[in-house]
Amino acid sequence: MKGDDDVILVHDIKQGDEQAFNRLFDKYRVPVYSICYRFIRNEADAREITQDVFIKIYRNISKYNERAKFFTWLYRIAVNTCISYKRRQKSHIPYHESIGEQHVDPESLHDKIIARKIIDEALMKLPDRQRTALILRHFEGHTFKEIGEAMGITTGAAKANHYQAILKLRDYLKGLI
Amino acid sequence: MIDCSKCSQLLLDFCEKTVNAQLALDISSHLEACNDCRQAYRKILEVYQILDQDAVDLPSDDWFESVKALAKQPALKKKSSRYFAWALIPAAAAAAMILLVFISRQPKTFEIEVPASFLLEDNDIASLTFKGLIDDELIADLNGLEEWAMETNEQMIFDMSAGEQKTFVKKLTEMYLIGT
Repeated sequence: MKGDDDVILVHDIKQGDEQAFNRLFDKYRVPVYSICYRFIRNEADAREITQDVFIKIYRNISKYNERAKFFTWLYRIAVNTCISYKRRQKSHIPYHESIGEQHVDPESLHDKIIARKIIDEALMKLPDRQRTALILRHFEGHTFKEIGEAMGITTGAAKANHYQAILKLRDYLKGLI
Repeated sequence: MIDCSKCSQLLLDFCEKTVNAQLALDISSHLEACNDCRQAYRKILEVYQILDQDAVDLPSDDWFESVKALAKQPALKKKSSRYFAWALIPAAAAAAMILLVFISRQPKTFEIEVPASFLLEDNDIASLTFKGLIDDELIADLNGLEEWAMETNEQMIFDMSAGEQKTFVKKLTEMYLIGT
């Protein structure tokens, strides 16, 4: 299964097997990039963060404790890197006029672009923890227990954060609903 | 049969398909009969549908290959012990702040015997959130504390070597008499 494969790959990487790292990278490159993009909502930044995450993974793999699931360790690094990056960039984020209140018809191309912006804006309005829980649950399909482990919080807190995110999105996305 | 209050508490679990079969039937029956709950349910489903349309455009395979190669390059230089000494100051300050925050959050009455953050051990917290018993402010407060601790300490500890971590723990133990 997924977890068992990771244990073997990590073991091999610790023994200096570069091919094992290649396989681990190929397995997780899409989820890691997707998490980073969905968290930061910017392609250039998502690329930079993804790069940082894999550098950290390679350099710190010896510190990974095999009692925990590998992907929760990996996602935790990804999420922490996103949060740190966002905090560093905060002062450089340009101001955009809010479009969340506009009502759009998702059929036209122009409106699709606006719809995308509304989704971007809505997700970025969520607190980091709620956005992370939503991403890991809705887009990556993890259980609340796994999400809690990845976020370093309890299962109940992971569930609460996810629910808060959905309830808020119901308001933030009212232009599309 | 369930009422509107119970239905609204379980609506997100129902959408997530995490309720048992009998409860799912009860909720379905209620949704058929209750227009307000049905509207609320539809709005949540629409949020899920909108999120489902949120696609990610992946970078090219070449880009991923370049990242893979870059990740495997050795670090340019090892951190000096002087760096470690400086790094220890904010880490220790952070640890002291966390202890202070937790100490200051100790319950002030005998009726409440655990700190608020212990509530999060309860897996039913989500339903309390949904009922509005645990508000955004408390969640944000606890999240902020966790995030701050994670940011300040975890990254610092993460960057340390095994030897540095050992020294760090030893110093913390000496400073705060942890475990005594």
